[in-house]
Amino acid sequence: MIETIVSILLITAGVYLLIGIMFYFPFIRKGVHTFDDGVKAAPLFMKILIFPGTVALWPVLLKKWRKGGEA
Amino acid sequence: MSVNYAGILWNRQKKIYDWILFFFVLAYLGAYIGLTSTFAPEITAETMIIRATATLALLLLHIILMIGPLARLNSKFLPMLYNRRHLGVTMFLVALVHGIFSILQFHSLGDKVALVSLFTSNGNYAALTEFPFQVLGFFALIIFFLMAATSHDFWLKNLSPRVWKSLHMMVYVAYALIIMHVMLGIVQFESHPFLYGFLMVGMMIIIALHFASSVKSGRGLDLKSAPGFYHACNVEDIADDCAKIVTLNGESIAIFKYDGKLSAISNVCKHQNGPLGEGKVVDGCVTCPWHGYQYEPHNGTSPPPFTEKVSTYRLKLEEEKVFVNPDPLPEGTALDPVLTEG
Repeated sequence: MIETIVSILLITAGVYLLIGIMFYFPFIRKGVHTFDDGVKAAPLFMKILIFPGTVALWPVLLKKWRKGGEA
Repeated sequence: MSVNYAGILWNRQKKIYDWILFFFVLAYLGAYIGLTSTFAPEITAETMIIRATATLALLLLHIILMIGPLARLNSKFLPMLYNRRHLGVTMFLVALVHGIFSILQFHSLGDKVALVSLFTSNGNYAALTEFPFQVLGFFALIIFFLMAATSHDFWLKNLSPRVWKSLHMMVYVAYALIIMHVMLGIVQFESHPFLYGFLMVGMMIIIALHFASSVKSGRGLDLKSAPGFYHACNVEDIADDCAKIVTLNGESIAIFKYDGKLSAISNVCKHQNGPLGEGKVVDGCVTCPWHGYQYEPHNGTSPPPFTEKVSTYRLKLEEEKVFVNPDPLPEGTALDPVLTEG
């Protein structure tokens, strides 16, 4: 029973992170510029540094992207 | 101030700090592995790495948690506070190595997926001393990851300072998980009492330092009895172009004296929550000691073209006594400075 629950939770977490990884590339190319001008001329290293956080917190950033796009 | 991000904000002091940290990590791991190889040659390389990184991460976590209260108690510790972020990321990376090697050694050799095994190999979730301590370490590592991953200025700006600060205060939850992780690990697998002793001493030092700094800064005082002004200090307690920091009703307030005037603004910089009250008034502006963000003392607003704003507070002067109203005014509210010289 516990193994099934753990497996389901881990698969869910895996899918969540996979979506985060796929989200990162359009986000860094286009989405982030709709609400934060500071990234535009930032070095590549900075964009790599925010990769792990983007993968982990992509729903927050997606919300900001959608809001930024509306503004 | 509202400029393009850099990868890492380097300066000479930070580079020195990071080199010291780098060599400390190398020296610790080298010494641990060297001593273990000499005095306990039967221990495998994987176990050595697991133990070396576990003790190093624990030590770094204790140092990280001590820096804040130490800096509040004695300003000599402030340089350590200003680069605590790199220490935190280093601690996470060390803890990550510990986690990866532990999972490889103890959970990847069976027929179950390693992470499933981590959660199911010990099913004593209802027991106290037999509780699966590995799970606690796993969740602490998740918190450390979130903190390390969001340590860049980008996150401070886009999560908002309040959310960012709340996220990073989770370090105390992670610390509690780590204490239980280590204690249960000791109870279940170790017989040496000194490991337990070291852990207890470390925990007591951290609690004592937080308590002492809390008393010093006036936190915990019940001053909510009535809205009004509270005695903060005397005028002569504040050096010219500097501030006196007081904490009233949970508000950290910096009272600045400059050009024969007094103004009070929030002690918390909008950039990275830096301590504005430890900065100086430079060219008429309060200048954050961390990254040089500036605010006009009478309205808590950054000079144009910048847009950052912090709260201001009402002040009163009765003879030499400075009184402050701890109710924050909306960020950027202009107030006439209180004149100290008639």
